Amino acid sequence: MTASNQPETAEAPLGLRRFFAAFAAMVELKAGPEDVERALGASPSGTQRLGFYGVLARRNRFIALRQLCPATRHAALALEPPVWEELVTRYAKQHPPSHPDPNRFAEGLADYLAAERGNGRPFPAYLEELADYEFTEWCVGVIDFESSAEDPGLERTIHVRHYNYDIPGFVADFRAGRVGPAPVEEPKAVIIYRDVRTQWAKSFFPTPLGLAALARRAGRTLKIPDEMASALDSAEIDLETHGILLPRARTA
Amino acid sequence: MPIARRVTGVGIGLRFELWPALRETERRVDWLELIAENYSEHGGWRRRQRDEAAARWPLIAHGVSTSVGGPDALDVTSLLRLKRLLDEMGAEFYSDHLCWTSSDSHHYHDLLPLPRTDEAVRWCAARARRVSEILERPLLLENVTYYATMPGSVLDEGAFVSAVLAESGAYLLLDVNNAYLNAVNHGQDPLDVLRRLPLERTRQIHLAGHEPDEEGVLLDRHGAPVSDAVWSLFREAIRRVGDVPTLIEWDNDIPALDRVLDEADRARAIQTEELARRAGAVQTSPAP
Repeated sequence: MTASNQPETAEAPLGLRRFFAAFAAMVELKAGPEDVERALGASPSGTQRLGFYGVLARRNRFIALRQLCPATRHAALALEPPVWEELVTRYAKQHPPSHPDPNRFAEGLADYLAAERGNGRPFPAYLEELADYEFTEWCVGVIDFESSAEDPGLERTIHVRHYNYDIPGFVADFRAGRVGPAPVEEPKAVIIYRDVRTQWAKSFFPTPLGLAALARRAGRTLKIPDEMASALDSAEIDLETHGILLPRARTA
Repeated sequence: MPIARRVTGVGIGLRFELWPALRETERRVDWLELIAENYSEHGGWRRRQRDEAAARWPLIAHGVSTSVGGPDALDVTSLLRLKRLLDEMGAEFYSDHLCWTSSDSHHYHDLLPLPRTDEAVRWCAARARRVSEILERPLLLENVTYYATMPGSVLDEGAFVSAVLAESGAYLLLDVNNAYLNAVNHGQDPLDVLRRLPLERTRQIHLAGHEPDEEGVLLDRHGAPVSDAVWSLFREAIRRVGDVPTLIEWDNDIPALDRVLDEADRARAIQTEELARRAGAVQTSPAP
């Protein structure tokens, strides 16, 4: 029997199952140490010390989002009143981390913020754009995909967004230590991508022709007037120059 | 599965913050530890970094999410991806923690302790054996920090770790800092806690710094230099364990590379001194 087809369905024995159920509720911030002790008996270390694992769990959620979405956090803290604490607490309760990689904890943050705003919470729209940008930037940097001249990696190492605020500019300023409280409202398209030369995540403001060139490279059918063909080729070369696309062979 | 001891000396963690300086350094680095999940699941700059590091230093992979003691079915898909990474690295063994990290497909990103019961011993041992089978290499399990004894526990830490390793055939990744923290946080003698672990099965050692929280509980933060008390305990460990690779873990508030390498130099000096003393003791001991 090979590793891949051996069943892995054995269930933990009853005593352990009871333990996991009670303790998991605490580290998912849904129960306190008193609840754990009611279900399992007293900890020899005392209730308060047992509850430290709930404290740790909450702390870890804050650390994960602070590390992955620092500009989002900055903007949330700059609001009056600051909403970061409340935002993370509510998000963590509703979205227990569902991936072994702690960075993936931020995956649902933008959608959560959008939904909360839709429900009347006073979260400005740029928070969800910031959360989306920071998470997407992380994703394109680490995703296990090698682009080729034929397959540039659209939706994998290249993501196209339309933001209503200058999100890349805000994040760049934040990293340079010269950021204001909120991004400037400035609707534009953004390409978030892994530079094919350095492998680092970057962003780029494409022209409409640049977007068309990207779509063409990704195999999308486009109706381009003949007189625009050379302009489209130039736009494609521009994307190559910025490391968005791998250069492809061209006839002279 | 016996372990060929190819990697020796003192390593440091391959961390994003240290990488630019690491590429340039001419100081001695015996090996690098990488967090396996960061490289088995990811490509891009991480793969490039791994390949560049592997060209210069031996690498050891260490995991944080196998959840050997956990309730969820082992994630065979992830383990097979991990195996591919280990194969590419030519890894002789794999290590993770004797703990649980997930339940009901929720991942806590914490190394959670288990109730130390006979039931948990059997459960962990069976899963550890299975992980080792899937990865087709020996498994090392690390003694973790516990801030509270779990309700229902009937074994002490040393007895629990010993029983799991004996029943599973796994080896010990001895975290000296964790042993020290557990002793202090639970009012025990650090040397006694160390002695009760199955030291004869040790195949690697971890060293790290710790910090007290507001209530005086020592936290395993990996964000400070190794304390003098842990250096002393490390010396005791080397006397008993002998020559195994040792890692300096510095994962938070990471300082300049030279500061981390100073810690590695200190560990190497202690190792060299104690191994020489051991060799001398062996050579001068009277024939039976």
